[in-house]
Amino acid sequence: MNSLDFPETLDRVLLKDIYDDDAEYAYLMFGLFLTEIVPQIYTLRQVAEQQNWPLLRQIAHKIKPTFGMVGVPQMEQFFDKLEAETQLQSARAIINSIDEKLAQVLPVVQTTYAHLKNLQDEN
Amino acid sequence: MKINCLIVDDESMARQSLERLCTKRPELTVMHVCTNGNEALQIVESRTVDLMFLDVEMPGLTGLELLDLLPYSMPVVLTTSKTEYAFAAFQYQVIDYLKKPITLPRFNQAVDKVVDTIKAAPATPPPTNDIYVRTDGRFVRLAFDDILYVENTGDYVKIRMNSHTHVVHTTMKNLEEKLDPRRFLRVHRTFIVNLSRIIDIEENTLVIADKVIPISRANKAELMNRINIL
Repeated sequence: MNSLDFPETLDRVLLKDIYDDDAEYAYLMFGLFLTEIVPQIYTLRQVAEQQNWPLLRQIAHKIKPTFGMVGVPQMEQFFDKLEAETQLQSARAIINSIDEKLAQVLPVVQTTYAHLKNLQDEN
Repeated sequence: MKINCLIVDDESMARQSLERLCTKRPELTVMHVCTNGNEALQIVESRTVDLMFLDVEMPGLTGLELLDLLPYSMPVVLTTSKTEYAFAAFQYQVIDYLKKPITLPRFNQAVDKVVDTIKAAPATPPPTNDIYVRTDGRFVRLAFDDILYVENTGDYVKIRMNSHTHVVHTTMKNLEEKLDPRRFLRVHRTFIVNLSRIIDIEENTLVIADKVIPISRANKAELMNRINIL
């Protein structure tokens, strides 16, 4: 990756629209995603098992648009479904899909964050 | 043109994203960032907000419920991760409706609309002879003629009337903008006076009722120009 070129696996067009050439802004948002949003994703299963549907909906709603901020807007569909879910079995299946996809995209997000951090350190 | 913005969102990443986007437009100044609707309502009731970026879905008071409670109109840009609020946005006549994640071109487009709207508004507010201030949970009307002076005390201002003093949570700047500039003048960093209530003026002080008020060197000339001297 050179300067603010994002990996091909991320939605580069969307990321360009969000950050333009502001690497510091991207660094800030990728960092927030990793430190604040990812831990919330891992709470979804527990909340679903408690069948606390209003809380599940609230958390899913907050998480949903943050995936776009790190170039993975295709994850939003799972959270759209989860927001409307009130059945434990279906919720478990959606959360399984989220975990599976997250395991694929998280390393890319982490690598991108490391690259952005290097850019900050260089400046 | 300076546009004082209020950001209201319960999600940290969204709040910080909007703060960052606002720094890209020199017209915008972020005056406050709120995490819920109730906090935002308190800010709107105590200060003048020129533009609000408002999340629709928040726990407690939602964005749309907050719009129903606003004590005065202001340009509002709704922010949400759902498109289904577009009709509500139309009904509430908000300036724009931004879907999260917010891209820079769409943000700029929304701010351009806000700037156009503010520019198209009348340059000066209609003449008025009074001001309403929120005190003890109600809005009280204060006639300009009855205000003797205003004193800044940090986060609050004291509005001294003939028989009563109102303590209001606002800034001197906000209050000064609401007062009639033909009648009132800031004579010191901490005092705005009603020119028609001055009893006498000495070198660096003036007297209104029983109060001796300092006059700053920077404001003395303007004061002397504004009074009718024989």
